[in-house]
Amino acid sequence: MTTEPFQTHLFTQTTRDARTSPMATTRTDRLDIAARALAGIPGGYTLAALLSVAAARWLPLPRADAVAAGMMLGLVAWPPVMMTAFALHSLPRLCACLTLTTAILATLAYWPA
Amino acid sequence: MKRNFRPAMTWLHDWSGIITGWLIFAIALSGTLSVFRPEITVWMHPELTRETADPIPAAEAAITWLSTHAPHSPDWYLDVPTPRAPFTLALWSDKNGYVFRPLDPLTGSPDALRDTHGGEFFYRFHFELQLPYPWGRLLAAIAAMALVLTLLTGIVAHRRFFADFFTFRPGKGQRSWLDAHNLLGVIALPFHLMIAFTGAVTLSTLLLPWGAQTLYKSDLTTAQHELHPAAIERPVTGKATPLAPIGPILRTAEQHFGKTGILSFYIENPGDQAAVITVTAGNTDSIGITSHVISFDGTTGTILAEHTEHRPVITTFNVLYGLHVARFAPGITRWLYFLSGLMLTALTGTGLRLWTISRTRNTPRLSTTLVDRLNVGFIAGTPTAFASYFLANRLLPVSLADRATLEIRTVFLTWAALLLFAALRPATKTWPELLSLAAITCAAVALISAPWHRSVDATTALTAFIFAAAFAAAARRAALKKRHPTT
Repeated sequence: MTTEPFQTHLFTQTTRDARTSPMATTRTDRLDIAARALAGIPGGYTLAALLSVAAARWLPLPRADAVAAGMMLGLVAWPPVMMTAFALHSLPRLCACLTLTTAILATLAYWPA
Repeated sequence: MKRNFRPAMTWLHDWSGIITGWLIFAIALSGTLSVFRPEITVWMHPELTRETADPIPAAEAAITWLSTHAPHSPDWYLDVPTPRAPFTLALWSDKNGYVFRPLDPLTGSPDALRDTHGGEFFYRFHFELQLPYPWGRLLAAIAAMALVLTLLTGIVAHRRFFADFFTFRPGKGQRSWLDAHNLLGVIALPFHLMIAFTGAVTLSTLLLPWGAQTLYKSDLTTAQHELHPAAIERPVTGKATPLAPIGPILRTAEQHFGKTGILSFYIENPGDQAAVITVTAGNTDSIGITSHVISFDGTTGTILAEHTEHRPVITTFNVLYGLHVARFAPGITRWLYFLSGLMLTALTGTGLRLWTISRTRNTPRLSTTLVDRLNVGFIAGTPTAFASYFLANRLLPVSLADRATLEIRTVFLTWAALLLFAALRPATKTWPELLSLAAITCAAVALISAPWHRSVDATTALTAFIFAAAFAAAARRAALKKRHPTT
Protein backbone atom coordinates (compact mmCIF):
# COMPACT_ATOMS: atom_id res chain seq x y z
CA MET A 1 0.00 0.00 0.00
CA THR A 2 1.40 3.33 -0.99
CA THR A 3 0.51 6.84 -0.04
CA GLU A 4 0.67 9.96 -2.10
CA PRO A 5 2.95 12.81 -1.08
CA PHE A 6 -0.01 15.00 -0.12
CA GLN A 7 -1.61 12.25 1.87
CA THR A 8 0.26 11.73 5.07
CA HIS A 9 -0.34 8.75 7.25
CA LEU A 10 -0.42 9.50 10.90
CA PHE A 11 -0.87 6.48 13.05
CA THR A 12 2.75 5.70 12.65
CA GLN A 13 5.60 5.40 15.05
CA THR A 14 8.45 7.70 14.15
CA THR A 15 10.51 4.66 13.24
CA ARG A 16 8.08 3.34 10.66
CA ASP A 17 7.44 4.96 7.30
CA ALA A 18 4.01 4.16 5.92
CA ARG A 19 5.32 4.61 2.41
CA THR A 20 7.70 1.70 2.70
CA SER A 21 5.63 -0.50 4.96
CA PRO A 22 3.39 -3.06 3.29
CA MET A 23 0.88 -2.78 6.13
CA ALA A 24 -0.85 0.53 6.66
CA THR A 25 -1.56 0.00 10.31
CA THR A 26 -0.01 -2.01 13.11
CA ARG A 27 -1.87 -3.70 15.91
CA THR A 28 -1.17 -0.79 18.26
CA ASP A 29 -2.54 1.61 15.66
CA ARG A 30 -5.72 -0.41 15.34
CA LEU A 31 -6.29 -0.35 19.09
CA ASP A 32 -5.57 3.38 19.11
CA ILE A 33 -8.09 3.95 16.29
CA ALA A 34 -10.72 1.79 17.99
CA ALA A 35 -10.29 3.71 21.27
CA ARG A 36 -10.58 7.05 19.51
CA ALA A 37 -13.61 5.90 17.49
CA LEU A 38 -15.27 4.84 20.75
CA ALA A 39 -14.46 8.20 22.30
CA GLY A 40 -15.74 10.08 19.25
CA ILE A 41 -18.87 8.17 18.25
CA PRO A 42 -20.63 6.76 21.34
CA GLY A 43 -18.64 9.11 23.60
CA GLY A 44 -19.40 12.13 21.42
CA TYR A 45 -23.06 11.19 21.23
CA THR A 46 -23.32 10.81 25.00
CA LEU A 47 -21.71 14.21 25.45
CA ALA A 48 -24.07 15.79 22.89
CA ALA A 49 -27.10 14.14 24.53
CA LEU A 50 -26.09 15.30 28.01
CA LEU A 51 -25.39 18.80 26.72
CA SER A 52 -28.85 18.92 25.13
CA VAL A 53 -30.45 17.90 28.44
CA ALA A 54 -28.30 20.26 30.54
CA ALA A 55 -29.04 23.18 28.22
CA ALA A 56 -32.76 22.35 28.16
CA ARG A 57 -32.79 22.35 31.97
CA TRP A 58 -30.69 25.40 32.73
CA LEU A 59 -31.23 27.88 29.90
CA PRO A 60 -33.51 30.67 31.15
CA LEU A 61 -36.09 30.06 28.45
CA PRO A 62 -39.63 28.67 28.22
CA ARG A 63 -39.61 24.87 28.07
CA ALA A 64 -40.24 24.43 24.33
CA ASP A 65 -37.53 26.97 23.44
CA ALA A 66 -35.08 25.43 25.90
CA VAL A 67 -35.61 21.96 24.45
CA ALA A 68 -35.08 23.23 20.90
CA ALA A 69 -31.95 25.15 21.96
CA GLY A 70 -30.59 22.04 23.67
CA MET A 71 -31.10 19.88 20.58
CA MET A 72 -29.34 22.39 18.34
CA LEU A 73 -26.43 22.77 20.80
CA GLY A 74 -26.10 18.99 20.95
CA LEU A 75 -25.88 18.77 17.17
CA VAL A 76 -23.26 21.53 17.08
CA ALA A 77 -21.19 19.81 19.77
CA TRP A 78 -20.88 16.31 18.32
CA PRO A 79 -18.58 16.89 15.30
CA PRO A 80 -15.96 18.91 17.26
CA VAL A 81 -15.86 16.17 19.92
CA MET A 82 -15.25 13.64 17.16
CA MET A 83 -12.47 15.82 15.75
CA THR A 84 -10.91 16.26 19.20
CA ALA A 85 -10.99 12.49 19.70
CA PHE A 86 -8.66 12.12 16.74
CA ALA A 87 -6.64 15.30 17.22
CA LEU A 88 -5.38 15.02 20.79
CA HIS A 89 -1.91 13.51 21.08
CA SER A 90 -2.33 11.62 24.28
CA LEU A 91 -5.01 8.96 24.55
CA PRO A 92 -5.07 9.01 28.40
CA ARG A 93 -5.46 12.79 28.34
CA LEU A 94 -8.31 12.45 25.80
CA CYS A 95 -10.08 9.93 28.01
CA ALA A 96 -9.60 12.17 31.05
CA CYS A 97 -10.96 15.26 29.26
CA LEU A 98 -13.95 13.37 27.87
CA THR A 99 -14.79 11.72 31.20
CA LEU A 100 -14.53 15.02 33.08
CA THR A 101 -16.72 16.91 30.57
CA THR A 102 -19.24 14.08 30.50
CA ALA A 103 -19.35 13.99 34.32
CA ILE A 104 -19.92 17.76 34.55
CA LEU A 105 -22.65 17.67 31.89
CA ALA A 106 -24.29 14.61 33.48
CA THR A 107 -24.39 16.44 36.81
CA LEU A 108 -25.95 19.50 35.20
CA ALA A 109 -28.39 17.32 33.27
CA TYR A 110 -29.68 15.09 36.07
CA TRP A 111 -28.78 16.65 39.43
CA PRO A 112 -30.66 17.76 41.45
CA ALA A 113 -33.23 15.27 40.21
CA MET B 1 3.20 8.83 19.22
CA LYS B 2 3.65 11.45 16.61
CA ARG B 3 0.46 13.20 15.73
CA ASN B 4 -0.22 16.43 13.96
CA PHE B 5 -3.54 18.12 13.60
CA ARG B 6 -3.74 18.21 9.83
CA PRO B 7 -2.72 14.60 9.11
CA ALA B 8 -5.11 13.48 11.84
CA MET B 9 -7.95 15.43 10.24
CA THR B 10 -6.98 14.16 6.78
CA TRP B 11 -7.16 10.60 8.08
CA LEU B 12 -10.54 11.27 9.70
CA HIS B 13 -11.81 12.93 6.47
CA ASP B 14 -10.76 9.90 4.40
CA TRP B 15 -12.30 7.34 6.69
CA SER B 16 -15.54 9.07 7.65
CA GLY B 17 -15.87 9.82 3.94
CA ILE B 18 -15.41 6.28 2.70
CA ILE B 19 -17.58 4.74 5.43
CA THR B 20 -20.56 7.03 4.88
CA GLY B 21 -19.86 8.13 1.28
CA TRP B 22 -22.17 5.74 -0.58
CA LEU B 23 -25.03 6.55 1.77
CA ILE B 24 -24.39 10.29 1.49
CA PHE B 25 -24.15 10.01 -2.31
CA ALA B 26 -27.62 8.41 -2.51
CA ILE B 27 -29.08 10.81 0.06
CA ALA B 28 -27.61 13.85 -1.71
CA LEU B 29 -28.85 12.77 -5.15
CA SER B 30 -32.37 11.94 -3.96
CA GLY B 31 -32.45 15.17 -1.95
CA THR B 32 -31.38 17.13 -5.01
CA LEU B 33 -34.26 15.60 -6.99
CA SER B 34 -36.62 16.35 -4.07
CA VAL B 35 -36.03 20.06 -4.71
CA PHE B 36 -38.45 19.51 -7.59
CA ARG B 37 -40.74 17.12 -5.74
CA PRO B 38 -44.07 18.62 -6.96
CA GLU B 39 -42.75 19.07 -10.49
CA ILE B 40 -41.68 15.41 -10.64
CA THR B 41 -45.13 14.38 -9.38
CA VAL B 42 -46.71 16.44 -12.17
CA TRP B 43 -44.34 14.85 -14.73
CA MET B 44 -45.38 11.43 -13.45
CA HIS B 45 -49.04 12.26 -14.04
CA PRO B 46 -49.34 12.96 -17.78
CA GLU B 47 -53.11 12.96 -17.14
CA LEU B 48 -52.76 16.32 -15.37
CA THR B 49 -53.08 18.61 -18.35
CA ARG B 50 -54.33 21.73 -16.62
CA GLU B 51 -51.43 23.79 -15.27
CA THR B 52 -53.41 25.62 -12.59
CA ALA B 53 -55.99 24.68 -9.99
CA ASP B 54 -58.09 26.78 -7.63
CA PRO B 55 -57.14 25.68 -4.07
CA ILE B 56 -60.46 26.08 -2.26
CA PRO B 57 -62.81 24.39 -4.78
CA ALA B 58 -60.20 21.62 -5.13
CA ALA B 59 -60.18 21.16 -1.33
CA GLU B 60 -63.99 21.05 -1.30
CA ALA B 61 -64.00 18.37 -4.00
CA ALA B 62 -61.33 16.40 -2.12
CA ILE B 63 -63.31 16.48 1.15
CA THR B 64 -66.49 15.36 -0.64
CA TRP B 65 -64.62 12.41 -2.15
CA LEU B 66 -62.87 11.47 1.11
CA SER B 67 -66.18 11.66 3.04
CA THR B 68 -67.60 8.84 0.94
CA HIS B 69 -64.41 6.86 0.24
CA ALA B 70 -62.38 7.17 3.46
CA PRO B 71 -64.91 7.98 6.20
CA HIS B 72 -63.26 5.67 8.75
CA SER B 73 -59.74 7.06 8.46
CA PRO B 74 -58.82 8.66 11.82
CA ASP B 75 -57.36 11.63 9.95
CA TRP B 76 -56.99 13.16 6.50
CA TYR B 77 -53.96 15.21 5.51
CA LEU B 78 -54.25 17.45 2.47
CA ASP B 79 -51.77 19.72 0.66
CA VAL B 80 -53.79 22.24 -1.32
CA PRO B 81 -52.97 22.87 -5.00
CA THR B 82 -50.24 25.42 -5.70
CA PRO B 83 -49.00 26.87 -8.99
CA ARG B 84 -46.20 24.25 -8.81
CA ALA B 85 -48.54 21.35 -7.99
CA PRO B 86 -52.00 21.76 -9.54
CA PHE B 87 -53.63 18.93 -7.57
CA THR B 88 -54.61 18.10 -4.00
CA LEU B 89 -52.15 15.75 -2.35
CA ALA B 90 -54.00 13.56 0.14
CA LEU B 91 -52.89 11.12 2.80
CA TRP B 92 -55.34 8.96 4.70
CA SER B 93 -55.38 5.48 6.14
CA ASP B 94 -57.43 2.41 5.32
CA LYS B 95 -57.27 -1.08 6.78
CA ASN B 96 -53.94 -1.75 5.03
CA GLY B 97 -52.17 1.36 6.34
CA TYR B 98 -51.46 4.76 4.86
CA VAL B 99 -52.74 5.69 1.40
CA PHE B 100 -51.09 8.53 -0.40
CA ARG B 101 -52.64 9.83 -3.63
CA PRO B 102 -52.94 13.04 -5.61
CA LEU B 103 -56.61 13.95 -6.08
CA ASP B 104 -58.01 15.52 -9.22
CA PRO B 105 -58.70 19.22 -8.45
CA LEU B 106 -62.11 19.13 -10.19
CA THR B 107 -63.56 15.76 -9.14
CA GLY B 108 -61.62 15.23 -5.89
CA SER B 109 -61.05 11.63 -6.98
CA PRO B 110 -57.73 9.85 -7.55
CA ASP B 111 -59.25 7.44 -10.09
CA ALA B 112 -58.32 9.34 -13.24
CA LEU B 113 -54.70 9.71 -12.08
CA ARG B 114 -52.26 6.82 -12.42
CA ASP B 115 -51.09 5.17 -9.21
CA THR B 116 -47.60 6.53 -8.52
CA HIS B 117 -45.71 8.09 -5.62
CA GLY B 118 -44.20 10.63 -8.02
CA GLY B 119 -41.63 12.99 -6.52
CA GLU B 120 -42.67 11.83 -3.06
CA PHE B 121 -40.53 8.70 -3.55
CA PHE B 122 -37.27 10.71 -3.75
CA TYR B 123 -38.38 12.92 -0.87
CA ARG B 124 -39.14 9.93 1.37
CA PHE B 125 -36.07 7.99 0.30
CA HIS B 126 -33.91 11.04 1.07
CA PHE B 127 -34.51 10.69 4.81
CA GLU B 128 -36.18 7.29 5.29
CA LEU B 129 -34.06 5.24 2.88
CA GLN B 130 -36.98 2.87 2.27
CA LEU B 131 -36.37 1.42 5.74
CA PRO B 132 -38.94 0.98 8.53
CA TYR B 133 -39.40 3.77 11.08
CA PRO B 134 -37.27 4.88 12.87
CA TRP B 135 -34.21 3.11 11.40
CA GLY B 136 -34.10 4.91 8.05
CA ARG B 137 -34.46 8.29 9.70
CA LEU B 138 -31.83 7.49 12.33
CA LEU B 139 -29.41 6.36 9.65
CA ALA B 140 -30.09 9.54 7.66
CA ALA B 141 -29.55 11.66 10.79
CA ILE B 142 -26.23 9.94 11.48
CA ALA B 143 -25.25 10.39 7.82
CA ALA B 144 -26.01 14.11 8.16
CA MET B 145 -23.77 14.40 11.23
CA ALA B 146 -21.06 12.39 9.46
CA LEU B 147 -21.31 14.78 6.51
CA VAL B 148 -20.82 17.77 8.84
CA LEU B 149 -17.75 16.01 10.24
CA THR B 150 -16.39 15.09 6.80
CA LEU B 151 -16.86 18.67 5.57
CA LEU B 152 -15.17 20.21 8.63
CA THR B 153 -12.23 17.79 8.48
CA GLY B 154 -12.15 18.30 4.71
CA ILE B 155 -11.57 22.03 5.21
CA VAL B 156 -8.51 21.16 7.30
CA ALA B 157 -7.34 18.38 4.96
CA HIS B 158 -7.62 20.45 1.79
CA ARG B 159 -6.68 23.69 3.55
CA ARG B 160 -5.13 25.16 0.44
CA PHE B 161 -8.31 24.81 -1.60
CA PHE B 162 -9.10 28.50 -1.49
CA ALA B 163 -5.68 29.27 -2.94
CA ASP B 164 -6.07 26.39 -5.42
CA PHE B 165 -9.53 27.54 -6.41
CA PHE B 166 -8.47 28.62 -9.89
CA THR B 167 -6.41 25.50 -10.41
CA PHE B 168 -7.86 22.75 -12.51
CA ARG B 169 -5.53 20.33 -14.24
CA PRO B 170 -7.65 18.05 -16.43
CA GLY B 171 -6.36 14.79 -17.85
CA LYS B 172 -3.84 14.28 -15.05
CA GLY B 173 -5.48 11.36 -13.29
CA GLN B 174 -5.53 11.66 -9.52
CA ARG B 175 -4.39 15.30 -9.62
CA SER B 176 -7.48 16.17 -11.72
CA TRP B 177 -9.82 14.29 -9.41
CA LEU B 178 -8.32 16.17 -6.46
CA ASP B 179 -8.69 19.51 -8.26
CA ALA B 180 -12.32 18.68 -9.10
CA HIS B 181 -12.96 17.58 -5.50
CA ASN B 182 -11.48 20.84 -4.18
CA LEU B 183 -13.31 22.99 -6.70
CA LEU B 184 -16.68 21.35 -5.95
CA GLY B 185 -15.98 21.55 -2.25
CA VAL B 186 -15.05 25.20 -2.11
CA ILE B 187 -17.54 26.55 -4.64
CA ALA B 188 -20.59 25.65 -2.57
CA LEU B 189 -18.96 25.11 0.84
CA PRO B 190 -21.45 27.34 2.72
CA PHE B 191 -24.31 25.46 1.05
CA HIS B 192 -22.79 22.06 1.84
CA LEU B 193 -22.28 22.93 5.51
CA MET B 194 -25.74 24.49 5.75
CA ILE B 195 -27.55 21.58 4.11
CA ALA B 196 -25.68 18.97 6.18
CA PHE B 197 -26.33 20.70 9.50
CA THR B 198 -29.94 21.66 8.76
CA GLY B 199 -30.51 18.10 7.56
CA ALA B 200 -29.50 16.92 11.02
CA VAL B 201 -31.79 19.62 12.51
CA THR B 202 -34.82 18.22 10.64
CA LEU B 203 -34.21 14.86 12.35
CA SER B 204 -32.98 16.23 15.67
CA THR B 205 -36.10 15.26 17.64
CA LEU B 206 -35.30 11.66 16.77
CA LEU B 207 -31.55 11.96 17.32
CA LEU B 208 -31.68 13.91 20.61
CA PRO B 209 -35.07 13.37 22.25
CA TRP B 210 -33.54 13.45 25.74
CA GLY B 211 -34.11 17.13 26.52
CA ALA B 212 -37.82 16.88 25.80
CA GLN B 213 -38.06 13.60 27.70
CA THR B 214 -36.37 15.12 30.75
CA LEU B 215 -38.40 18.33 30.81
CA TYR B 216 -41.77 16.84 29.93
CA LYS B 217 -41.26 13.45 31.61
CA SER B 218 -43.61 11.20 29.65
CA ASP B 219 -46.23 13.88 29.09
CA LEU B 220 -46.04 13.96 25.29
CA THR B 221 -49.40 15.73 24.96
CA THR B 222 -48.12 18.76 26.87
CA ALA B 223 -44.86 18.71 24.88
CA GLN B 224 -46.78 18.63 21.64
CA HIS B 225 -49.11 21.38 22.83
CA GLU B 226 -46.28 23.68 23.91
CA LEU B 227 -44.41 23.13 20.67
CA HIS B 228 -47.53 23.57 18.49
CA PRO B 229 -49.91 25.70 20.58
CA ALA B 230 -52.56 25.79 17.85
CA ALA B 231 -52.72 22.01 17.40
CA ILE B 232 -55.79 20.85 19.32
CA GLU B 233 -56.25 17.19 20.18
CA ARG B 234 -59.71 15.96 21.14
CA PRO B 235 -60.66 12.36 21.88
CA VAL B 236 -63.20 10.69 19.60
CA THR B 237 -66.73 10.91 21.01
CA GLY B 238 -68.35 8.27 18.80
CA LYS B 239 -71.20 10.65 17.99
CA ALA B 240 -71.45 10.98 14.20
CA THR B 241 -71.69 14.63 13.22
CA PRO B 242 -71.23 15.98 9.68
CA LEU B 243 -68.23 18.21 8.95
CA ALA B 244 -68.79 21.94 8.60
CA PRO B 245 -68.35 23.12 4.97
CA ILE B 246 -64.60 23.36 4.32
CA GLY B 247 -64.82 26.32 1.86
CA PRO B 248 -65.72 29.05 4.38
CA ILE B 249 -63.19 27.66 6.90
CA LEU B 250 -60.35 27.83 4.38
CA ARG B 251 -61.46 31.31 3.29
CA THR B 252 -61.30 32.49 6.90
CA ALA B 253 -57.83 30.97 7.25
CA GLU B 254 -56.76 32.63 4.01
CA GLN B 255 -57.85 36.04 5.37
CA HIS B 256 -55.81 35.47 8.53
CA PHE B 257 -52.74 34.30 6.59
CA GLY B 258 -52.59 37.15 4.09
CA LYS B 259 -50.68 36.74 0.87
CA THR B 260 -48.78 33.59 1.88
CA GLY B 261 -51.99 31.58 1.44
CA ILE B 262 -52.63 28.05 2.65
CA LEU B 263 -50.02 25.31 2.48
CA SER B 264 -51.95 22.38 3.91
CA PHE B 265 -54.61 21.32 6.36
CA TYR B 266 -55.54 18.20 8.23
CA ILE B 267 -58.75 16.93 9.71
CA GLU B 268 -58.73 14.76 12.81
CA ASN B 269 -61.71 12.54 13.61
CA PRO B 270 -63.63 13.47 10.44
CA GLY B 271 -67.38 12.77 10.79
CA ASP B 272 -67.17 12.73 14.58
CA GLN B 273 -68.38 15.41 16.98
CA ALA B 274 -64.73 15.90 18.03
CA ALA B 275 -63.53 16.74 14.52
CA VAL B 276 -60.73 19.36 14.35
CA ILE B 277 -59.52 21.08 11.19
CA THR B 278 -55.99 22.50 11.44
CA VAL B 279 -54.78 24.83 8.68
CA THR B 280 -51.12 25.76 8.14
CA ALA B 281 -50.04 28.88 6.26
CA GLY B 282 -47.73 28.69 3.26
CA ASN B 283 -44.18 29.89 3.69
CA THR B 284 -43.50 31.65 0.45
CA ASP B 285 -42.65 34.92 2.23
CA SER B 286 -40.52 33.57 5.07
CA ILE B 287 -37.73 31.01 5.24
CA GLY B 288 -39.04 29.32 8.38
CA ILE B 289 -41.65 26.60 8.26
CA THR B 290 -45.07 26.54 10.00
CA SER B 291 -45.06 30.12 11.20
CA HIS B 292 -48.85 30.51 11.32
CA VAL B 293 -51.41 27.82 12.24
CA ILE B 294 -55.15 28.00 12.95
CA SER B 295 -57.37 25.18 14.17
CA PHE B 296 -61.13 25.10 13.73
CA ASP B 297 -63.89 23.08 15.32
CA GLY B 298 -64.70 20.58 12.57
CA THR B 299 -68.46 20.61 13.11
CA THR B 300 -69.17 24.29 13.81
CA GLY B 301 -66.30 25.94 11.94
CA THR B 302 -65.40 28.23 14.86
CA ILE B 303 -61.76 28.99 15.58
CA LEU B 304 -60.39 26.92 18.47
CA ALA B 305 -56.83 28.26 18.51
CA GLU B 306 -54.48 30.38 16.45
CA HIS B 307 -50.72 30.65 16.74
CA THR B 308 -48.18 32.83 14.97
CA GLU B 309 -44.62 31.77 15.74
CA HIS B 310 -42.55 34.52 17.40
CA ARG B 311 -40.60 32.53 20.01
CA PRO B 312 -36.93 33.21 19.24
CA VAL B 313 -35.45 29.71 19.58
CA ILE B 314 -38.36 27.87 17.96
CA THR B 315 -38.21 30.43 15.13
CA THR B 316 -34.47 29.77 14.73
CA PHE B 317 -35.21 26.05 14.62
CA ASN B 318 -37.98 26.60 12.04
CA VAL B 319 -35.70 28.79 9.92
CA LEU B 320 -32.97 26.11 9.93
CA TYR B 321 -35.60 23.53 9.03
CA GLY B 322 -37.00 25.82 6.35
CA LEU B 323 -33.54 26.40 4.86
CA HIS B 324 -33.25 22.66 4.37
CA VAL B 325 -36.65 21.97 2.80
CA ALA B 326 -36.53 25.21 0.77
CA ARG B 327 -40.29 25.61 0.46
CA PHE B 328 -39.73 29.36 0.60
CA ALA B 329 -37.51 29.31 -2.48
CA PRO B 330 -38.64 31.06 -5.63
CA GLY B 331 -37.66 29.61 -9.04
CA ILE B 332 -34.06 30.77 -9.32
CA THR B 333 -33.21 29.91 -5.71
CA ARG B 334 -34.67 26.47 -6.26
CA TRP B 335 -32.43 25.90 -9.26
CA LEU B 336 -29.46 27.04 -7.12
CA TYR B 337 -30.46 24.44 -4.53
CA PHE B 338 -30.61 21.87 -7.32
CA LEU B 339 -27.18 22.83 -8.68
CA SER B 340 -25.59 22.97 -5.23
CA GLY B 341 -27.13 19.59 -4.44
CA LEU B 342 -25.61 18.18 -7.60
CA MET B 343 -22.26 19.65 -6.59
CA LEU B 344 -22.53 17.96 -3.20
CA THR B 345 -23.34 14.67 -4.96
CA ALA B 346 -20.34 15.14 -7.25
CA LEU B 347 -18.15 16.18 -4.30
CA THR B 348 -19.04 12.90 -2.62
CA GLY B 349 -18.46 10.98 -5.85
CA THR B 350 -15.02 12.51 -6.47
CA GLY B 351 -14.11 11.90 -2.83
CA LEU B 352 -15.04 8.22 -3.12
CA ARG B 353 -13.03 7.99 -6.32
CA LEU B 354 -9.97 9.67 -4.75
CA TRP B 355 -10.04 7.25 -1.84
CA THR B 356 -9.54 4.29 -4.15
CA ILE B 357 -7.25 5.97 -6.70
CA SER B 358 -4.67 6.63 -3.99
CA ARG B 359 -4.93 3.02 -2.80
CA THR B 360 -5.05 0.96 -5.98
CA ARG B 361 -1.73 2.04 -7.53
CA ASN B 362 0.31 -1.09 -6.95
CA THR B 363 -1.22 -4.34 -5.81
CA PRO B 364 -4.40 -3.35 -4.02
CA ARG B 365 -5.94 -5.40 -1.27
CA LEU B 366 -9.11 -7.36 -1.97
CA SER B 367 -11.18 -4.94 0.13
CA THR B 368 -9.82 -1.93 -1.76
CA THR B 369 -10.62 -3.59 -5.09
CA LEU B 370 -14.15 -4.29 -3.93
CA VAL B 371 -14.62 -0.68 -2.79
CA ASP B 372 -13.23 0.47 -6.14
CA ARG B 373 -15.71 -1.73 -8.02
CA LEU B 374 -18.71 -0.83 -5.85
CA ASN B 375 -17.83 2.84 -6.31
CA VAL B 376 -18.73 2.35 -9.97
CA GLY B 377 -21.98 0.67 -8.98
CA PHE B 378 -22.91 3.56 -6.69
CA ILE B 379 -21.61 6.56 -8.63
CA ALA B 380 -22.78 5.45 -12.08
CA GLY B 381 -25.50 3.05 -10.94
CA THR B 382 -27.52 5.33 -8.63
CA PRO B 383 -28.38 7.87 -11.38
CA THR B 384 -29.41 4.98 -13.65
CA ALA B 385 -31.57 3.43 -10.93
CA PHE B 386 -33.25 6.78 -10.21
CA ALA B 387 -33.78 7.44 -13.94
CA SER B 388 -35.35 3.97 -14.30
CA TYR B 389 -38.07 5.19 -11.90
CA PHE B 390 -39.07 7.81 -14.48
CA LEU B 391 -39.08 5.20 -17.24
CA ALA B 392 -41.13 2.73 -15.19
CA ASN B 393 -43.64 5.50 -14.54
CA ARG B 394 -44.32 5.95 -18.23
CA LEU B 395 -43.86 2.34 -19.38
CA LEU B 396 -45.78 0.28 -16.81
CA PRO B 397 -49.43 -0.16 -17.86
CA VAL B 398 -51.66 2.47 -16.23
CA SER B 399 -54.20 -0.09 -15.03
CA LEU B 400 -51.61 -2.37 -13.42
CA ALA B 401 -52.46 -3.35 -9.85
CA ASP B 402 -50.08 -1.92 -7.23
CA ARG B 403 -48.11 -0.08 -9.89
CA ALA B 404 -46.76 2.57 -7.47
CA THR B 405 -44.99 -0.23 -5.57
CA LEU B 406 -43.73 -1.76 -8.82
CA GLU B 407 -42.25 1.59 -9.89
CA ILE B 408 -40.27 1.76 -6.66
CA ARG B 409 -39.29 -1.90 -6.95
CA THR B 410 -37.87 -1.08 -10.40
CA VAL B 411 -35.45 1.38 -8.78
CA PHE B 412 -34.14 -1.12 -6.25
CA LEU B 413 -33.95 -4.04 -8.68
CA THR B 414 -32.02 -1.88 -11.17
CA TRP B 415 -29.76 -0.65 -8.40
CA ALA B 416 -29.08 -4.16 -7.06
CA ALA B 417 -28.42 -5.53 -10.54
CA LEU B 418 -25.95 -2.74 -11.34
CA LEU B 419 -24.13 -3.12 -8.01
CA LEU B 420 -23.82 -6.86 -8.59
CA PHE B 421 -22.61 -6.30 -12.13
CA ALA B 422 -20.06 -3.75 -10.89
CA ALA B 423 -18.87 -6.05 -8.10
CA LEU B 424 -18.13 -8.89 -10.53
CA ARG B 425 -16.16 -7.02 -13.18
CA PRO B 426 -12.98 -4.90 -13.11
CA ALA B 427 -13.70 -1.22 -12.49
CA THR B 428 -11.80 -0.15 -15.61
CA LYS B 429 -14.39 -2.06 -17.67
CA THR B 430 -17.51 -1.11 -15.72
CA TRP B 431 -16.79 2.65 -15.62
CA PRO B 432 -17.40 3.17 -19.37
CA GLU B 433 -20.16 0.54 -19.41
CA LEU B 434 -22.21 1.88 -16.53
CA LEU B 435 -21.63 5.53 -17.43
CA SER B 436 -22.88 4.77 -20.96
CA LEU B 437 -25.91 3.04 -19.48
CA ALA B 438 -26.58 6.13 -17.31
CA ALA B 439 -26.34 8.30 -20.43
CA ILE B 440 -28.75 6.05 -22.34
CA THR B 441 -31.25 5.92 -19.46
CA CYS B 442 -31.21 9.71 -19.06
CA ALA B 443 -31.62 10.18 -22.82
CA ALA B 444 -34.57 7.78 -22.67
CA VAL B 445 -36.15 9.91 -19.93
CA ALA B 446 -35.75 12.96 -22.18
CA LEU B 447 -37.41 11.13 -25.11
CA ILE B 448 -40.19 9.58 -23.08
CA SER B 449 -41.21 13.04 -21.84
CA ALA B 450 -42.65 13.57 -25.35
CA PRO B 451 -44.87 15.27 -26.38
CA TRP B 452 -43.22 18.15 -24.61
CA HIS B 453 -46.43 20.21 -24.28
CA ARG B 454 -46.40 20.85 -20.56
CA SER B 455 -43.60 23.00 -19.18
CA VAL B 456 -42.54 20.26 -16.69
CA ASP B 457 -42.17 17.78 -19.56
CA ALA B 458 -39.99 20.17 -21.54
CA THR B 459 -37.85 21.14 -18.53
CA THR B 460 -37.45 17.51 -17.43
CA ALA B 461 -36.48 16.50 -20.97
CA LEU B 462 -33.89 19.27 -21.18
CA THR B 463 -32.42 18.47 -17.75
CA ALA B 464 -32.33 14.73 -18.52
CA PHE B 465 -30.68 15.50 -21.83
CA ILE B 466 -27.95 17.55 -20.11
CA PHE B 467 -27.37 14.65 -17.70
CA ALA B 468 -27.21 12.24 -20.65
CA ALA B 469 -24.61 14.43 -22.37
CA ALA B 470 -22.53 14.68 -19.18
CA PHE B 471 -22.63 10.92 -18.61
CA ALA B 472 -21.77 10.28 -22.26
CA ALA B 473 -18.73 12.58 -22.00
CA ALA B 474 -17.66 10.85 -18.78
CA ALA B 475 -18.13 7.42 -20.41
CA ARG B 476 -15.98 8.49 -23.34
CA ARG B 477 -13.19 9.68 -21.03
CA ALA B 478 -13.42 6.44 -19.03
CA ALA B 479 -13.22 4.40 -22.24
CA LEU B 480 -10.11 6.31 -23.36
CA LYS B 481 -8.56 5.79 -19.96
CA LYS B 482 -9.26 2.06 -20.20
CA ARG B 483 -7.06 1.93 -23.30
CA HIS B 484 -4.36 4.19 -21.84
CA PRO B 485 -4.52 3.59 -18.12
CA THR B 486 -1.69 5.98 -17.32
CA THR B 487 -3.46 9.15 -18.44
